[in-house]
Amino acid sequence: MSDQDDERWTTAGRVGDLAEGEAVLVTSPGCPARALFLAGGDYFALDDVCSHGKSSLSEGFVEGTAVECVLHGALFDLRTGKALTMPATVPMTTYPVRVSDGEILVRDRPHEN
Amino acid sequence: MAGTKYEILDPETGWLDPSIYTDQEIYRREMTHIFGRAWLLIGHDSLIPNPGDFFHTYMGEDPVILSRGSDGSVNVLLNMCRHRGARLVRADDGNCNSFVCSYHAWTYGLDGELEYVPGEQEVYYGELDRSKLGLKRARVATYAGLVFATWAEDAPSLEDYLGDARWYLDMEFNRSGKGTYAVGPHKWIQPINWKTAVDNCSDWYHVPVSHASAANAMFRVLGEPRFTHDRLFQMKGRAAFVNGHQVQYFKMPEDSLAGQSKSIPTATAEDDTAEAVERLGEFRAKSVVLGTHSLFPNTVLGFRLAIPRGPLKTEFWHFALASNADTPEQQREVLRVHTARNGVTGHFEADDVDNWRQVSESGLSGTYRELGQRVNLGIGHTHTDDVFPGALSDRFVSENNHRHFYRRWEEFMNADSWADIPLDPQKATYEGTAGMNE
Amino acid sequence: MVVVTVIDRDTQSEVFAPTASAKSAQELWTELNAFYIAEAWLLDERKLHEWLDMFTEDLLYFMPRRKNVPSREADREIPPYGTDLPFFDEDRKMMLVRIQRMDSGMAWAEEPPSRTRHLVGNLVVQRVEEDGTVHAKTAFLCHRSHAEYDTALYSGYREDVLHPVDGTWKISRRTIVLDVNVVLDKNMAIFF
Repeated sequence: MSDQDDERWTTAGRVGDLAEGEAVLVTSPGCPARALFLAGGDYFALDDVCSHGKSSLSEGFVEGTAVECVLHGALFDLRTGKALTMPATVPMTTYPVRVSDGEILVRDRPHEN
Repeated sequence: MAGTKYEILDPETGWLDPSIYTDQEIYRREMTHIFGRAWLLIGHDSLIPNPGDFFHTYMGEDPVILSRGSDGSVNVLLNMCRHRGARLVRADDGNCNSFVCSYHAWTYGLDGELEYVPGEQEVYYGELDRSKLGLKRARVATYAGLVFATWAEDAPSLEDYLGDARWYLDMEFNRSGKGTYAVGPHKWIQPINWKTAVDNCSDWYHVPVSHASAANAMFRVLGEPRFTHDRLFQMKGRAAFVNGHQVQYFKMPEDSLAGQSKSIPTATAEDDTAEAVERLGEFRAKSVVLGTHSLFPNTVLGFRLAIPRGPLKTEFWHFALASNADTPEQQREVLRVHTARNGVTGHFEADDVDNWRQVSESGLSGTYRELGQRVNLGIGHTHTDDVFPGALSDRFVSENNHRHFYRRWEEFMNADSWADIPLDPQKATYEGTAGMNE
Repeated sequence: MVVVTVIDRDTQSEVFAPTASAKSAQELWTELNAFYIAEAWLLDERKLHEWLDMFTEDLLYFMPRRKNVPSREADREIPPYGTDLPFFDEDRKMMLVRIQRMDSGMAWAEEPPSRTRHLVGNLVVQRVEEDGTVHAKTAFLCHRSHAEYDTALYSGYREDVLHPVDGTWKISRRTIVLDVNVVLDKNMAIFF
């Protein structure tokens, strides 16, 4: 995870805003909408729009360290973005998340892989 | 009659000729060279428990009567009168003393002997040799209650025909000395070539995809574990091809899906383990479970048959086997689960047919015949093992068995007789007391 | 009041015999007919969850095989419940599995979904019990069209056990008997 000063990070709220298993939509100009999850005590950020259908993953159901899309039930690994079940096969883009002074920040540039 | 030599599979690339599903000439030759020669599963002992019982079944396109003679013997008779070919039996099953043709009343015994012809003296002038006009009899043999028949006089014994596939099959069909009983079948017509349903028995690559909705609903409603590609790719079992037959096995306890994926859903009560160890040895009783399998040519997953009815038409017969060792409650549950998952109403099997049909019909497309199909998954990634018989895939998911199945098909189709059809030598160690019929 | 007397073949009883219910036979018949017509529309409009709500929690949805037997052995034609391998032997949970499957968009047997048309008629009220439980028999034709060219025509009859619940009826036990031995359809992913 790069943490250079010239990287843009978007504030996604404060620690405590999100309860375990919850998600929130994170928007930032010039960036696709992302979904921030708190799962197993860790924060994860993915593109919000499911790689399969037009559905918002921030409305999905968190299951362990995975999220299930509400529309067609595809399951994605929050850690890697990998599509775990049909109907999705294409992985989700993931974003680094860090916590600074109680603030949750999602990097605008996705993970490399 | 040598005729055409079929080379329909390139083992180097996995290229497969789609014409094998649609070509009428190929289909006609399958009826003689495969269904006229192979040992075919046609019934079960429990379907004809008493003398005089009969069960109507098929050997390929040939209608046959499976009957129990008055001496308890099992007969398999072509259900076609030697006079004009009309049927002797019209019911699915029943009990009788003789088979009477509904056209001119030629009458045959339970063993197929022609016993009576109306007007034998008056209109046949006493010149008819009834002894030569019995119903055509097939060779018959049984394994663990399953009845097989073949038209081929020169076929090897059923034991040799099954070969070391039995090492695997025993784990379910032969687990208990109390045996199994058959219920059913469901019968329905699928618009597919029979081979697509057979090769699918070793196809686990399709399961998380074709059966996504059923697995998903079972997860949601019944709380069963999700079936993901990740999970599938980690399975410890392997695909084995043994003497023409396809077997997929599960390693226990690592392959936790094994229990729900059992091909014959015998309940396998906890307390049957001691007997299973005695019959099969420790390893086969506890550490391995038989998974999906097919017996060459057309036994599909348990006691289920893909009966050819034309290049693009297959009649499916779906029986359930319940274990006599199970309690009545367990037997009921086994039958209920069996109905729900497979068969014409099965929420798993229902989702297969359109895929098989499309695979079959690809042979109708001239453009696709040029391209050919690709059964190339896992080429070169195979091994043999001292314990597990057969050609084994390196990973659970493989099309190794598909390739072997179509090679076996070529061996039958290109053979002039059984002398040209190779058999794998039996090498497996059969621990325990279970035999072909004990 | 118009009293129609029909003798049921199975029970040899008058199907509109006087009952404990205040309803006239004619009223009951009309009410049940409307119920079955509404049910057929739910099936054909693919409102399967609403359709399932027409059944009780402890429902049994049962479809036996139909065997070819000599006419003298007609009692063997339809194997009774619990003796055979039926096409359907479902409780509510399993019906939910089947219906929820359709919601996934991946139930390939019904993807795209079939076009069905259920015509239900020939209603006979076989018996009315003291507590209002009704035993009714209907005949049906159901045409299924799937994908491009696949069609199947199902005919058969249904025997239901119905209970008056909150001003309507709930089915606790449905037996469906098809008029076919070898099913001439590629799969049976529809309901009756």
